[in-house]
Amino acid sequence: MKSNGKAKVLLVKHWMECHDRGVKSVASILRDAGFEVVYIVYMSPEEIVATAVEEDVDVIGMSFSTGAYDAHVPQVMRLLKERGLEDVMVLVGGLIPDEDIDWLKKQGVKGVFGAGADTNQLIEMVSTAGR
Amino acid sequence: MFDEKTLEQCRKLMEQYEQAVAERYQGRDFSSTTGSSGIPIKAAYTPLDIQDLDFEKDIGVPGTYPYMRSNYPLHYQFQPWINQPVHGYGLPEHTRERMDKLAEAGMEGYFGGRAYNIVCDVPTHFGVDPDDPDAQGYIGKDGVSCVTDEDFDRMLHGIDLTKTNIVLINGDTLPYLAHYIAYAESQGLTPDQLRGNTMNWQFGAWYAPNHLWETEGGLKLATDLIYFCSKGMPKWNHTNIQGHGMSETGADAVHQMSYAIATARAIADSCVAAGLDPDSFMPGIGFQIAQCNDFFEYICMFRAWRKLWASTAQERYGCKRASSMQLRTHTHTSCFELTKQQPLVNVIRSAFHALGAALSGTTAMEVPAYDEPIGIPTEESAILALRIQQVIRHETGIPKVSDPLAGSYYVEWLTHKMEEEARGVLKEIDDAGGFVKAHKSGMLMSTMRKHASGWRQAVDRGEEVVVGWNKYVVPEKEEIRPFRADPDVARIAIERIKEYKARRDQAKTDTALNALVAAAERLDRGEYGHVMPACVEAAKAKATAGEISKTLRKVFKWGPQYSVSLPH
Repeated sequence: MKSNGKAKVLLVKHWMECHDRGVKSVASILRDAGFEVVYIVYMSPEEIVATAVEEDVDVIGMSFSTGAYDAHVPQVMRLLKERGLEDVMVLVGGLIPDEDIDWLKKQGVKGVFGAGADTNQLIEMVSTAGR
Repeated sequence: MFDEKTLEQCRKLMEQYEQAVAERYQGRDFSSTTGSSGIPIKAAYTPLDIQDLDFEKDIGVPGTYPYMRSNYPLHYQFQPWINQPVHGYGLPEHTRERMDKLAEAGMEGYFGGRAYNIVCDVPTHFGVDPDDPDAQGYIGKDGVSCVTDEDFDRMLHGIDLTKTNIVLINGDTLPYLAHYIAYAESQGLTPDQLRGNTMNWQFGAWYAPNHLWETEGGLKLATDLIYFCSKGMPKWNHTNIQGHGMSETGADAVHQMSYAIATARAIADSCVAAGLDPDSFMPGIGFQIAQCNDFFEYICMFRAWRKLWASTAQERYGCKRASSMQLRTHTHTSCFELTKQQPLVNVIRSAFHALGAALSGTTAMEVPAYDEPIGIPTEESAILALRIQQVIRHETGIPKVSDPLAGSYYVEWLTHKMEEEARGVLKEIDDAGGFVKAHKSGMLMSTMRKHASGWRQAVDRGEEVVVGWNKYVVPEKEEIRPFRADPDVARIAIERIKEYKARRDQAKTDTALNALVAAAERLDRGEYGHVMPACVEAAKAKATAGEISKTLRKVFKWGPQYSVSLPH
């Protein structure tokens, strides 16, 4: 929770990921909604969690366009747990087939906001973070 | 173009028209309509709107300078566009299966020949081998994992490379082409026999958060590749400027055209500075062009683009060869406008985009599959996308007439307007100190981001209607299944590369890579013509594409340059 009472969000995309239009739109949308947003291009999942600690964020939003969530999401969840950061909300966006949503949620992902997701639902969910 | 009598009739009739509009619609204002590039559009056009155009200079006939109407006197009548679907996934032999299936389904190049538009996976795109920790999670998922001459053999064995167009879609172009050449040489061929296309995207996969090489170094590498090709690969198209990527990043039609031409100018300027004759390399520069929703605007963009490129080649570079002035184009129809919701609607959208491209006179076309909002295409969706092109070619009658929309008051007016606007944007770039500065400062990215953000806001507000997404929404369960490459791909690709390295003569590999460092240092000092041959030697000495790339990184700065800053 930040001074304005709003969650702070870390948006991340792997350095090899293509197509960042979506995640940058999410950055604009969340910032316009009053959230503080940090965006990084990461080399490794460790870097995401280290940045989350350093920036003291309430939400991590991971964007994927090439299906690497199967490798990266479990690693991030494990690292968050190791650091005692289970209360950081993890969201996933990008090109996500519906049939993978259950799997992502089982990993501990709170919400999936893929292509054509509703902006208001995203803002609502982020608003509940850090409370 | 019109005599005074005609113009006088127009003025009189338009007065009546304005009056009729005012009476019938009770003074309602319809004048706020704009095209997708923000150009104000009227409800009707007449000769008055194009009275200042000069037929010979501004319109002309197909196949003559400035080639606005077509590159050739006869175009589709003689040779239709190449249908060139992008394909690639998994291991090289998996991609070969798709190549064969698409060829069987009628994917063909010029004069019945074969053309394969092969996309590599992101690790290969960035010059990262499968056994690199960075590659994990990405191997073979969105393209083919192909990093050695042996991988090319697995993908292309038995194909006559002297008669086949091989398009290599990949960012880190030099190491990749080097392995393709090493493979071809292992088959007894020489580089001058090879035909196809590399991307030469050294400093910008525009839609990617990361680009490869820092701008100046990237330009040097791009120039060295062109130097090599213009001396020894006359049938190879070395460069493909990524207008489509700019469009996907957010550029509207005007900015797609102008930013792509600005990129091409920067590369061509660098080639001239390296001592190359423009007529030796300009024909090898092509453009990948996005055809998006605003039907007429994108057709007019295309016509204006041909004209602007021809005049750039002639006026800026003094080109004499027609092929230097003719805009070689590969249309990649729009992707950002396709939806995950009601995905079959994408077939309709793509058909309109492809129709626009055919009416624009493109020379090659990729139409994405309807399921691409959830992943790369299945065999079924890829063939359906190919069918879109085949229906337009064979069933609509469009190929009978070149530039069939020419002479429309609206089309000619808008084409001219697009050209004017693009010249304005090119001047802005010049005023900002040129392409290199504008690229490095983030000026180009920032404009594209603004457009992308504005588009999304308009969609969220419902001002920009997207059928099935923000209007005519139905509750739905995703019926389509995403394509997934074989789960063993990563393991096999890693095993292969380890085995490849274990089996080679390491001393020979090391010598070749050391020679590459020396060649790269020479290139850094502005001596062209050494790096690409050294890459080929390294590939023949079994250095992998990733190792060649990492060697180049010892000299040229590589990695994120502008993208970690947040959009504004």
